[in-house]
Amino acid sequence: MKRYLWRRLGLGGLTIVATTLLVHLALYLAPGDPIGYLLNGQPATPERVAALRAQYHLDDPFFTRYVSWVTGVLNGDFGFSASFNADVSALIASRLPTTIYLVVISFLFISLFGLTMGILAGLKKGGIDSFSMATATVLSSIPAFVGSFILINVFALNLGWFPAIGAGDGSLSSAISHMTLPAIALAFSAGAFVARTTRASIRVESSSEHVTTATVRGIPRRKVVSRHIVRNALLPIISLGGLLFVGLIVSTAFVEQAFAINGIGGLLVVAARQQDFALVQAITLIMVISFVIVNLAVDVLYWILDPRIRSEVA
Amino acid sequence: MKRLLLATGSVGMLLLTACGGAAAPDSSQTSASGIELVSAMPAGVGPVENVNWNLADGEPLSLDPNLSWSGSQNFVSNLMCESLLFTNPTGGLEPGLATDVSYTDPKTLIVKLREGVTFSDGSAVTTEDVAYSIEKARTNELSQFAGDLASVASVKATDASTVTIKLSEPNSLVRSALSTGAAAVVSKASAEGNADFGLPGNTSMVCSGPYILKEWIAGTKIVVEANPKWWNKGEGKQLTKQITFSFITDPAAAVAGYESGELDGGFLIAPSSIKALQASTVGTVGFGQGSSFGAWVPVMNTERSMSNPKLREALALSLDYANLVKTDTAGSGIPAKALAVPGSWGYEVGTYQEAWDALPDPVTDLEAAKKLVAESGVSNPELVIQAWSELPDSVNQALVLQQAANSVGFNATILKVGFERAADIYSGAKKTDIDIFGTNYLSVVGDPLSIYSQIGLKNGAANWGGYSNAKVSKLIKDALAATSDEERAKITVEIQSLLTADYAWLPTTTTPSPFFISNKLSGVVPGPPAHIWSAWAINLGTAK
Repeated sequence: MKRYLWRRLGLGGLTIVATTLLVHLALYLAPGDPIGYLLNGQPATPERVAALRAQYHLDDPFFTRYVSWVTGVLNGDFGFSASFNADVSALIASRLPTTIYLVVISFLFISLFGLTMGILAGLKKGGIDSFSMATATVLSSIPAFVGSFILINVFALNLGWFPAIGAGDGSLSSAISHMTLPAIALAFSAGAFVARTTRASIRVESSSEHVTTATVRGIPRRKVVSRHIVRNALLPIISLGGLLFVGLIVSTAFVEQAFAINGIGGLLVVAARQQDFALVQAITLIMVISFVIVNLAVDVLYWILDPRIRSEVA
Repeated sequence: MKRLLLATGSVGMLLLTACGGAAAPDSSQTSASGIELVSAMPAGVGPVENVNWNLADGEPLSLDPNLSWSGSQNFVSNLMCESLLFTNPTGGLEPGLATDVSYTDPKTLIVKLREGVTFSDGSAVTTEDVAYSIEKARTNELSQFAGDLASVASVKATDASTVTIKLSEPNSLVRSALSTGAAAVVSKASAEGNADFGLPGNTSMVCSGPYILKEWIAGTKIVVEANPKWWNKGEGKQLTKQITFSFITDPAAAVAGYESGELDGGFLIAPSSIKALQASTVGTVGFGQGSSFGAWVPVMNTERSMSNPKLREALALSLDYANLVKTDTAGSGIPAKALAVPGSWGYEVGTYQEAWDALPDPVTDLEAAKKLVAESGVSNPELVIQAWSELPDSVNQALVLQQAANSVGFNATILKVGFERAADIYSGAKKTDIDIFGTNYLSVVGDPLSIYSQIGLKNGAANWGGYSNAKVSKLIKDALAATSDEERAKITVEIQSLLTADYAWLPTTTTPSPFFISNKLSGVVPGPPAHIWSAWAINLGTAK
């Protein structure tokens, strides 16, 4: 187990280095000049332009920039955001909790609805199946920003059940009430995707030989379903869940815009558009690290759920 | 204050500039389509604990008033830091932190500091603080005011109540610049050597105004609260105990915020949101009179089409002004006869009104335009219209101009460029690939000479098109030497008629400032120059 984990961690580390290097390179090569944003569009003297270029290291060669960034990060300094005129650490610190709330609540919705609908549809043919899958089809075809407008108009403006915009005052209860609608909007298509995949996976397992054998041996249906069908069917869903979770962090941008939430997704969009190296890199780092952690968790879950992996590694 | 706001989606490119005169109160006006324009809403009557106000331009990059970055920045920092002169709702200048600012000769300005005023930390506002603040605005490399103070040779605290400003050449606009961020007084003790002064997340800024910076969570919100030590407090003022600013730039999200009551109001409402908000039952869309206007800026310093005055006139005749009022200002504006629109007349209103009335109305005359194109000697003259690829409104306006130009014989095309070219376009640099570009500009102080000197002088801060006319330059120099309001106004209207006849810029419409405010509230000053430089929320309170 230990060796398995170490290998996974090592791979994760490599992923982090490769990704940050790649993102740095992409920003370095991208067309356009961040100086336009730094000047905020105002007319400027050549001296002022030169001062700004030096201040933000815009003329340094690629590796110098990358190395100084890595050194900074290792010392806990993520640099200074040119587009926000603020410390990157402070910017991210104020926004990260919001994004975590949003992603976690959304992930709960996705799991709850996706798995319930998928399992029900997989096990019960007929009406429930058709209804669940029709619902999933409709939901999956609603883009997050369209879903956002519908939810805002119905549940915030007309019914007044939830706040229409903002992230709340920082308390847990206000975070939950503010994040519910955005989380649902974010969960629409991913939840439908989980439902479809779960259904297919349940169907495959239901018709597999070990399930037939178990049923023929007279094991009660409930036990067959819980131990032989659902448990096995969930293995691919766990991998999928891991990927979806990380994807959610990125896809929050649309929903954040619609609900005027200051989170990480929107920050990344602004930073990338304005070639704000320090900020893009820091957010990328967060995403890659969460990707590595989530994948590690998925591997551990596999280890626990699937004896074959244990024997493979041993 | 040659500086520019990259307003997200709403007003497009907005350039601010400075200068002023004496108080000239005027009541509100009415637009061509019957929309009432507001200089100041009726003062609020009751106290409010907190008002949630949106900054549609996004989060300020700095709140340091002497550096002045954007519209957002002004709306927050003018509540905290006061200037030497106060801009009243109609653009006139009144005593502020200074009880008097006057020229003793065209090259000397004497500032008399109000006695007994303290900063929010309790320390006294001294003439040293005043001199320090103006010096910062004049010499800091990030300052947007350096150009307005370029003729200042020295700023000295001559005694406990006097600051003497010496000029290297006569400049009657420096006095009005003292109503702007160029002379917003900050506590020297809080600013000197403080690298984080005014930066996002930092609350160390100390000024003397009606509000104090309470909290700034970078990327999330700014909170200001009433300053109990304000020198000018009194009945009906500071009714709002706290203002919480959010930075919602997405127009649709802002509309949802206004309609749900989570936002109590905001300036710079996007044109595309006005209809939706006019239907709101919780608040009202108003239009601040203001000194803003829309214009096309022809590039004249090349061998291309716009260097020919006949072609500039032809283009002006091809525009459908009535339609522009509808599309660009939601019907709230009027066709602009000149660049110094009525909201910029901060003094000698009679002179400016008379000159305005005497100017010809902008007309659409396609036949005359076609004739001018034919007379120009260039068949099918080329016209490259620049548009900002980031701003859909800018592209739409370019399309309208393209259609108009082509209908009178131009060969017009649109060139979309990104904001990274803003520094080049909004400068005097030769632009060889562009013939004309649009702008939403404004007089940042109530003095028409300000805008005209920026455009009419060869090195004027807004002379981006490369206009030059020796007669105009001479008159501007005279006006800059004229410290008497009456004399200055007389020369300025002359400059106005020459620049208008030359089509130095092609004005389109006045652009009143749309704002939204909850029905429960009243008392904001909604239009420039007042709401940019002077505390726009002093009288903000309950409507009933």
